[in-house]
Amino acid sequence: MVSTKPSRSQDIRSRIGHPIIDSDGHFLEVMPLVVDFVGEVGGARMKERYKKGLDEAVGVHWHEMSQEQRDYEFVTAPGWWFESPSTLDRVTATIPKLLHARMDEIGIDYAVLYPTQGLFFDRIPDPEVRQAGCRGLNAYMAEVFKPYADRMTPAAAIPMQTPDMAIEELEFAVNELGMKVAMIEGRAMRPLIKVEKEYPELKNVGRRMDVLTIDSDYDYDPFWAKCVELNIAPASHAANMGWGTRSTSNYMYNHLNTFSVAHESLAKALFLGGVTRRFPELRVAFLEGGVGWACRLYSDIIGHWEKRGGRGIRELDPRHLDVDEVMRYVAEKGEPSQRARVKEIRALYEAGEPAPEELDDFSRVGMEHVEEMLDLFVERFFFGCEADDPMNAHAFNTKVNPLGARLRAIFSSDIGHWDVTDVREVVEETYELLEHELLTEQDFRDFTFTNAAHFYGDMNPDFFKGTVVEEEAGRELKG
Amino acid sequence: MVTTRPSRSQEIRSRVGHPIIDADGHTLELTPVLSDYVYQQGGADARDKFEEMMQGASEAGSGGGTTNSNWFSMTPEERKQNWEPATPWWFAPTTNVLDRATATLPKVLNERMDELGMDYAVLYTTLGLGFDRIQGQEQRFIVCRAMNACVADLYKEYSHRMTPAAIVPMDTPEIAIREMEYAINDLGLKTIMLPGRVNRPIPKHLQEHPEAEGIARYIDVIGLDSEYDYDPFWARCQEMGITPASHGSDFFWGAVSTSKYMFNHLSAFAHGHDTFAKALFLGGVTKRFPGLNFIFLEGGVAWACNLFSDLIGHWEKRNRNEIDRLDPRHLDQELILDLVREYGEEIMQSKIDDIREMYATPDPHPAELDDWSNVPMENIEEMMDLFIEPYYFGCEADDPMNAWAFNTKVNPMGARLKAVFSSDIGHWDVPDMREVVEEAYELVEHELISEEDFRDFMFTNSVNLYGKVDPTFFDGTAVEAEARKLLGR
Repeated sequence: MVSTKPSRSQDIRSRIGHPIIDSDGHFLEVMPLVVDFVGEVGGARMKERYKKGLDEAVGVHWHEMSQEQRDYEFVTAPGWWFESPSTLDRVTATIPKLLHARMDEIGIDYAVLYPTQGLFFDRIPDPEVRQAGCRGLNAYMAEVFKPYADRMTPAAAIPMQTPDMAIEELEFAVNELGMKVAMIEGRAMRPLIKVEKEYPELKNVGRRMDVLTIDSDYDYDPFWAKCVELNIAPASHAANMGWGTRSTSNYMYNHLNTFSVAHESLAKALFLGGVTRRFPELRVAFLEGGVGWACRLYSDIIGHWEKRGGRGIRELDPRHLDVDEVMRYVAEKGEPSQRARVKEIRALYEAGEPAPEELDDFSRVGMEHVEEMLDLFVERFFFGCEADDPMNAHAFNTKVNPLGARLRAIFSSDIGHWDVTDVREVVEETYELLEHELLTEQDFRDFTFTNAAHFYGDMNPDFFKGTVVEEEAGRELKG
Repeated sequence: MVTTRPSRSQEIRSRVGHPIIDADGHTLELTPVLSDYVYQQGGADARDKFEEMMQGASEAGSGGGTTNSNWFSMTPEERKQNWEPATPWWFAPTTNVLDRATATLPKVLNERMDELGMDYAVLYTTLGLGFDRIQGQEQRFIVCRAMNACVADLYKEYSHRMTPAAIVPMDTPEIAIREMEYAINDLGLKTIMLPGRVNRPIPKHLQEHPEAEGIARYIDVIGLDSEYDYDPFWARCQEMGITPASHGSDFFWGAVSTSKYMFNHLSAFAHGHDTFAKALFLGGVTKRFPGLNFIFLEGGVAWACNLFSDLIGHWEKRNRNEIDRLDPRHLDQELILDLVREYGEEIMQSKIDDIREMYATPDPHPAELDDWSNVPMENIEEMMDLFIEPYYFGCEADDPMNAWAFNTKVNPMGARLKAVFSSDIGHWDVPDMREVVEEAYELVEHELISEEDFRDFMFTNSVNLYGKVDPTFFDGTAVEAEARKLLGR
């Protein structure tokens, strides 16, 4: 049933002389089995709670409402029809053995696989159900993918509601289930404290987004430390569907930029919260959002730091304003309506301006010079980019990226989902970036192999042991 | 008082052979002066309320609707309790007194335009950036009107070199039309700034918990799913030859920090504009109003390059002709079962009946399958008319990402996005106003853009932005002759 005719992707793979690692393919869960695994974790009652929670998370209720009702309650349009269009591809994403059999045809040596229904776990309202759901799914993945470890590995879903919960699941996934990749929720949604106290019935409406570092209710450093201890490079696959601006009618409105906006908030938080400073070994990936947002954020952080970081902020201290001098301008050059108010204007300037206790918003980053960005941002962050996104080229544009940086884009096929019309064409589409001269051969190698080898291998040199890319990855990591 | 030594910006301006238009400089308003205008518009009560707000907001007057001073008086715990976003603070020049005076006093700015290397500037408020959030509808309108009247008076004499933008509240289309007409027809202003969204209570929760009106809220992105039809407003803009500019941000509704202004400011404009631009496009506004232009300010252009590319990718796979391919009813059920039998793990084989049912159960879908129904496109090239043509993007001088706009190799269909030079003078981003044009020109010197790109960035795009909607926009200004030539008048 599997095609024997070599695909163009296969042909490309055979020519380029290096392996291709897919950092974000998707598998489609056999949900009746996952439910059984959840039942094993939490019992029969948990199975029902899990099914109900997942229905809520994927927005089943939206489909049952009229548009008027959706508007009235402001219910976000969820994703629909988001799996592969082709029967063969859909089953390929469902059955590990079939995917394994097709890896050569697809032109991919090794794949890190992420769940599909599991992407919605962070929207299951009950944290207990969410945790049980993650554990059941992880056990399912560990079992069904185990025989195919030479070509693929699944990512464990890690709930991030509290650091303790996250550590518990990470340890279970790694130590008990033998998993080696972790997908973290990129934030924890919590009710507004005021709402929880005064309007508990609105707790799912009046919410705040805890970005896991800055302003968090919890100290997540023990979790990041645990990642380092267990040699796990966490990856976020979070989306912002469900918060911020959203449409009640239009899935496309909600899907466009959904990953990049969510990732940006986590990346900002990890950076400004000093996580990349305190955990130099930690590597973090942001999946399916491309790299354009990261180039922009990287550049913006530099611009902001230069003017308001460290000593820079002192230049803006209103106490430095020479009031007599500025009032001389007002008197000499002011319009009549301005000159009529010189007394009040002077009082205004003399009153000063309020400021927070901590003047340096970058204090936790502790940068002395901007070149440290190469270490604290460029070195630590990796960005999952789909094959056909021309914006991937910007990662490698050392002329435009400040300090000549090359951001670490990693090839992420998204197989299993609607974006991929034919799994055999993904590598081919990626290669078009090179054919269209948007990437060089070296960029292409970094994009499809080297960067992924470093993302996983820098923290865990044994990551690729026993896989088909062991030799090349080992060489790359040693080099 | 104004320096006589030519600045490098001035030298560049003299060499480039085309005018330089600043599409987004900022004014720094003086609250005592504005207070007088609030009194004229709304009487003593409105003035007192305004002063109270400003007094609470910022004693220095450089905040108001922009700075939320309540935040300063809260402890970190209280900020978290209320989830109060860290407010902007210290955002005006201080050590550079001349620049502070320049952004405050129109006459000084007028005298320094040559020194800054600029021919013409469109100016936006600072205090008023947050006026759409003033509590109480009536007070909000009074203060917005007062601001508009104030800047109209202050800058009238200098219309040769600059024009201030009116604030237009967008609560409802009728209100937006009324306020725009007042600003344009009565006050003589010629450009407008609108917030790219309206913050509204969620109807269900407003009804059930009217006392919690401030908590359960949503962002109406105006173009899509709005409870109001804003088409009459866009039609009125077109009729009056007005180009709407959004200076909106996601400062108060995105992911926020209660402690760090920088967290909230980074990408705030890009995210705010992204939601608005998507809504206008997917809501079909750019399709229904082909003569209308929009500008999104201070967010750069990289977000727009991303959005443009993503819209294409999404449309190609989920447009009305393609969406049917994703209908799960087309799945070959027999092939599925054959594959499960041949390749399925043992535990999958044991669940084959469940798997059959799983695949046979239809996935839910909405009645309207085409998310692009408001913007029906026959081919992707229409994006050039519907996105590239009407959208303009305010970009700060020192942002290297501006080069993306002109990267026809990377942008799909070889598009050149319409980046427009936006100085941001008056704010903390600009330590020295004389260096802004110089910084913009570094994009050419560093070979990130060509001379032709630079011309478009600094001049052509701005002329087209305003002049295509209102060919007389630049009449009587310092750039009239060049603008006329460009517009073919």
